[in-house]
Amino acid sequence: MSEPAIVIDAKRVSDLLDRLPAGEASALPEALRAAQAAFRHVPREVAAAVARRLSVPASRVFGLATFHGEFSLFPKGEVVLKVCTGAACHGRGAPTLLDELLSKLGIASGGTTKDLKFTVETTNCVGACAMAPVVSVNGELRGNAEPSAMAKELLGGRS
Amino acid sequence: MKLDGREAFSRAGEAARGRDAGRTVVRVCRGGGCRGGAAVAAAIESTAREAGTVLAVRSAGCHGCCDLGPVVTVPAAGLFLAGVKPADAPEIVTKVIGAGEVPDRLAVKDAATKKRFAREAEIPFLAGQTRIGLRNAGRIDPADLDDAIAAGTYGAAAKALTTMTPEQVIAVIEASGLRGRGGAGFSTGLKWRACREATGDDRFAVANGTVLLEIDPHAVLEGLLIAAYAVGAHEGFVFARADSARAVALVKGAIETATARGLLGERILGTDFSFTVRLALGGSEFVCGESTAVLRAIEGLVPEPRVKYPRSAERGLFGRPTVLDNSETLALVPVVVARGPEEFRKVGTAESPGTKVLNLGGRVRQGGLFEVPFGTTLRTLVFGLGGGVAGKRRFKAAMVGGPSGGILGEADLDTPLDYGPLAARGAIVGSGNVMVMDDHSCPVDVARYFTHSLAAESCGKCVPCREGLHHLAEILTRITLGEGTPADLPRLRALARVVADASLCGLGKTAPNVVLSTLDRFEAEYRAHVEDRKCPGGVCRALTKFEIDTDLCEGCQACQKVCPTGAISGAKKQPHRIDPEICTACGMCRTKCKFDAITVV
Amino acid sequence: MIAMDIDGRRVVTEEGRTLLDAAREAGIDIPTLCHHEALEPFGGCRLCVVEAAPADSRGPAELVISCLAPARDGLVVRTASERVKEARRTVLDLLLARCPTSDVIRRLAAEHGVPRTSFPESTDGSKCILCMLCERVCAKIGAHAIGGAGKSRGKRIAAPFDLAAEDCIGCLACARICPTGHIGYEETDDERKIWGRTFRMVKCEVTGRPLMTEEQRSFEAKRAGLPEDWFTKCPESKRRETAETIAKAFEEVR
Repeated sequence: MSEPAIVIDAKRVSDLLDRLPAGEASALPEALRAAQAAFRHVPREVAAAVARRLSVPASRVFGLATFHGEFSLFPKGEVVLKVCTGAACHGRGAPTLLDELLSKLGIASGGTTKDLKFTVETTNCVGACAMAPVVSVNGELRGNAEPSAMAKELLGGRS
Repeated sequence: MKLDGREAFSRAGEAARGRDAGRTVVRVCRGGGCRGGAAVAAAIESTAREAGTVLAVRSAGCHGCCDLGPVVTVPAAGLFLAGVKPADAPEIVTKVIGAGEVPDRLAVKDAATKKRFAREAEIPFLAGQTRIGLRNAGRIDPADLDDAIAAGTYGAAAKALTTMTPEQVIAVIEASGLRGRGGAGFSTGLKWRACREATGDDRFAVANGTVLLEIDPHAVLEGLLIAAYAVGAHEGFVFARADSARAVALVKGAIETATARGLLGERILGTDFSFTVRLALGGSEFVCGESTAVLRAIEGLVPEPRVKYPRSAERGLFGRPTVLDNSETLALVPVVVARGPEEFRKVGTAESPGTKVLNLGGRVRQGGLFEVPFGTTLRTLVFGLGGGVAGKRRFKAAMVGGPSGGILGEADLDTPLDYGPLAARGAIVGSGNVMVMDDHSCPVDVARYFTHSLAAESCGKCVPCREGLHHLAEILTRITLGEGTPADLPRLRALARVVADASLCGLGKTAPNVVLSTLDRFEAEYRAHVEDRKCPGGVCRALTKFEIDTDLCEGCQACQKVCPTGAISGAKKQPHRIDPEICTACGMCRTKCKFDAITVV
Repeated sequence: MIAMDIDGRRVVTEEGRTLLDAAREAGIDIPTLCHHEALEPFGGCRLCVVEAAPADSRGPAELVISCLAPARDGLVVRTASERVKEARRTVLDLLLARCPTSDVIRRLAAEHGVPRTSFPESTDGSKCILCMLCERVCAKIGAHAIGGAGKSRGKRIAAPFDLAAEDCIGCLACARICPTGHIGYEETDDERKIWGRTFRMVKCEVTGRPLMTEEQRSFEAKRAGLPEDWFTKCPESKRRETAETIAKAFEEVR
């Protein structure tokens, strides 16, 4: 029943760090993106290691990690659904779609299910207005469907 | 192999253009909106193989009309097929390519006249555009450098680097009157000159803005190369949203292939000029579009804008003189250099020469990317190219300029889309997004929605934007919930004015546009919300009551099927009724009613 | 040399000065909250806005922030026009709603004609106006222990991951520069508590009074390339010692 926890093993951390240019502060966003991709969040110990590797203060790492919506301090779900809230999507059922997803999963926007399967967030216009309402599913765009049908499809058998 | 001079470059162009000699080229759109393009391409390829037809099936970038996708074109015959499925492959190979006949279902239905067109030159919404920045949209594979070279890309850069001095390049750009397409419309030539003349040993050239990167990355890189040559930059960046995977992959590939061919990197085209380009990724936050925020993001800092003293042209990225141009501007630069400033000025207005790519959406029949000359009216865009308002609804308003744009009404339809005239009406060119709203929309709710989302987008640095937008959104929320008072209207206006006047960056300065422009044009609707507790648009649930007009109702039961609360009753062919006790005013029924029988009371 | 018209007065200043510098040199008061002479201008509070336009300009004046706008020859500046006052009142009104418990903001707002806020008051009791002086002074010192986190209205000053600030040296520069007294700390002769950390105090070997934290001593010594035991006396003791040395020297001469 319970999802295996996200393992932050030393090997993956050192792999991540090795790819970063030592002492290069401008690589911080790239480093946090790599951490987010590897661990589905920016773990504190990884942030600290990144800070040392790039010679940037921990306060700056924390500032950037909390500024951008793409980074999270807590693990995100296996499937991250980002509902586009651009103008076109808003007018074509994005709010309904978001409501359906959240109520079916019993989470708030930005939240993650307890089993770490799903995270539901909103995103700014992704530029695919013709497909409205658009949802990014782990980065892949889906759209062009009735909000409730889409919600059902996106969550699979889950209700 | 590296191209070591202009001659080698023109030979490469000939080779690229000649590589499909004797074969019919078929292009299948693989843009972001054309899901299923891969399957269509595979089906056409295997069908052709079986039939013994010699084809070159190539990919195409986004055409800018994703609702028609997947799109298949046969460039030699000028044919444009929409909504193609893998099952259509046999007919495409035999009939379309074999006999030049296009089945009706694959032709494009004109939104306004319902006529079908298969020739690209006849499709009204395409033929009515002036595609200069989008010259290669759908015509090349954005991932293929040879396609770009065949289309003439890098030709203007070759001309600039081998026959022009940097000063001459700047003079040409200045003479063209090219203005930055990223929002404020500042003169590109002046900006380049300021950067060239700034003191400093080294400088940077930076491109930002995602749309053109997905469609024609090499055109953007060519423009960036010309900019770098003009200002004397040897290092540059392309800044893209990290979450637009397609743009990221395309730009990365484009930089690599162009560098490998000697079109970027050391000693470009055998000249003394070197320019190394790197890809830098940023967040999806709105503030990442602010020029000073872009530069901070590339430095690895939080993308908080800074006050522009000094300007980035003097002290920008890593403290060095920097030009930052939008990718759309950069895609136009090679055209200016290749054809000359006079030719460029033939299109557009005197103040704003050239074209602007607009992204038309909302309640319009034909949405998508439309490149039109500056000065084109809103009416031409919405009712001409866009085919008018979708369904049987009437035009109510259009939000022009993106999320921080202004709302224009019916009386503004003849406004030329240009910096000055739009600013005079409280809108902006901004991102070029135009969202159409029909008479089932509520300007107050639209203002609430955008103010609320922009408040969350504030970086938090300056007080008016961080605190002011929040309170604007709060007041608007109260109004849409039926808790507003008449005193809220002057307060909204006063606060919005100060936020626009006193905020640090473009985000805060433009975010109140939606509030001010709706107050100016739809004050009666605001008043209805705060005085009569009614939402005339039928959107704000707390203020909306729906009724079924029994004279118009045909008893089709379509509304009953979608009503989530079961509030609608009535037998088939009998007028229906909404139970006001159960109805939550969600408006689903109204979207389904074909007879306009559901009215707001 | 640059000559400008500020509020109808001819003000002369030098290249490189800001409008705020020039106005203050001429004795014209412009309120500020996020500005500090020792730090780079920030431009966040927007309280120092003024109207400025070149003398020959026919268009409307620009509302600029005086802490960053450079002085330019021939500029006509208005520091108290209705437009400027309206912007300042609104900024203070907004800050008062954010920090209704701050005496400093209350007083400043009242001085500008905002006796109470017209917006719903925040109830979290925070006095932080996000002027970022604390972050900036901490960075200037070189500790970089605290900084902004989050964005929009959720932005706040925090130690990394909201834990004890590892890089903090307990120098109290942040608390002392904070204009509203938002940053709290506790102090006895022996120790100091701030940002989740407890620091032991180094004491003056003459007076026995607390001098600085041990971390601050190491930090300063490292930065200045001095031995740690260089910091053994409080400034007052040092002054007295110097005075005594000089007095003794005089006596010897005599």
